Amino acid sequence: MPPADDPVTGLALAAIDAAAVSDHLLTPPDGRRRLAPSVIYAFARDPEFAGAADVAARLADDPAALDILRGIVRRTGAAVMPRQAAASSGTTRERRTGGATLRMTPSRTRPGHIYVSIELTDATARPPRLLIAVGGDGTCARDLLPPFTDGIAQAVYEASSDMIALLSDPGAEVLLA
Amino acid sequence: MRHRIHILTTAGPVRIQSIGEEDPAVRSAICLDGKAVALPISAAYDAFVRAPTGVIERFTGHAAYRMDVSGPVEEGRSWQLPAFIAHAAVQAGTFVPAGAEADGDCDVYATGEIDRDWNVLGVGHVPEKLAALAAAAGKDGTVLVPGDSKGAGPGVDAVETVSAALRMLDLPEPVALPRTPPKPMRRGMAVVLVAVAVVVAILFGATAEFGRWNALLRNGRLLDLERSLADAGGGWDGWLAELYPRWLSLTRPSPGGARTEAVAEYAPTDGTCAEKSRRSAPTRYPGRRPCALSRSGSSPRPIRKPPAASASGRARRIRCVRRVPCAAAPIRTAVSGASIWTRRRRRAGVSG
Repeated sequence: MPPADDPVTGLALAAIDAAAVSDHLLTPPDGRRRLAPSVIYAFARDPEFAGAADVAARLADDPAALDILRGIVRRTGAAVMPRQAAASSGTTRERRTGGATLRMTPSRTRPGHIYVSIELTDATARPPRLLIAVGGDGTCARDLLPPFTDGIAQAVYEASSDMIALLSDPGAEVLLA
Repeated sequence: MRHRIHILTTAGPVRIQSIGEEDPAVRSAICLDGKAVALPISAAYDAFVRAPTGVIERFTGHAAYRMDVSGPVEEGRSWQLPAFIAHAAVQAGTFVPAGAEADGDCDVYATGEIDRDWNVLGVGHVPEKLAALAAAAGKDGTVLVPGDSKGAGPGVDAVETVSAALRMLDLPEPVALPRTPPKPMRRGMAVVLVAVAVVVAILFGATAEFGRWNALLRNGRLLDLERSLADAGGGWDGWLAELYPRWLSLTRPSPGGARTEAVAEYAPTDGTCAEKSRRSAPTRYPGRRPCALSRSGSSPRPIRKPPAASASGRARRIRCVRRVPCAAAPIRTAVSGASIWTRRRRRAGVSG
């Protein structure tokens, strides 16, 4: 048995304490492990992030992680479109913010499809790579944006997709990262 | 004859399944097999369609289309020739969409880039594309490649222009729509613009002359002003000279409404200007030249030329000639504002 004042033992116990504290902080009462900030950062910033679907599913149960996500996008992203009613112009609905305008236009040739175009206010600005929509209940959808041409990117979605549902929801936030 | 159009790719032919007009507010897109999947070449397709750079809108008059294809098409521009043929077939009513095939339809396989003058430019990997086509079973039809392509052999037609390709397919050559000429300006609008131009010219000329006369007035050169107005003669200058007093009358201060007091700074009796003291006029130091003058109020702007003391030894009570700005008038006004107005009124016949 090492003596009670053995420094190596004290260091090991301190490390275990630190791990326990970390586990406690990252584990909500229901036993599910919280999303680490580094994972949320990768979700918000890395188009190649492999675990995006899993993170999107877990964000709904983790309001703190959602706050971290919003904070990351506000600091590093291109635009945050807060909760707002989508304005309508004919069949086109749009959401605006200082950095970009998002428009949803139904397809004429495919009634079930909707074009989502994002136009940057400053066409020379660094274009976002990700479109993230977060609903009021924490539901999250995330998609890669196509390359911007002349400050505009356009994607096609099924009208029944989660992304269109969230983009059409006035209570949802839209993040361009 | 109806046409089924295919894009030659190194992975085998890709069928153009449908072409439809979209809302011009959106960009043209090439989608995969009717799904909500836009191919990466969609932006290039939009540039290929939309005028003024694009070639499709020039003969269809529409700016946005959706084209569905049966398989992926990689980056490049070799899809342009089959896409153009497909649009021409749609215009001619011979395009066969997916699911509407019938016996006797002609399969067209094409690759090539198109410039603005509808010339077919060379593209790469033509032999590989032809090999991929040969590997696909039951692919009979017309094969079109650019004129300078290597590997073009029997059963493969090399074309230099879009017109030649369309002639081979018995498709009418699309006619470029005339550019919408700018609408001629309506007569009423032209009259209004001319009238505005005349008014602007009059105002400009009047402003220039009035500015010169105002400068004389501000500098107290009343005799020069009188002389300039008298020398104006007839015509345009004479009319302006007649107009000037009337315009001036608009700026006439109301009786008693434009008084101001000047502040004179005098040196002490036995001192210098460096020890000057501020006194409001009338001063207690008659007969002495002030060191400086400034207008009353909050502005400390000094008056550049202190006037000579009056013969009576009392500083004058100075009246502004104009309401705004008051500070300019007292500088060298040996003639009061009332005097100026009397003289102007007498000359111009302005009453009141």
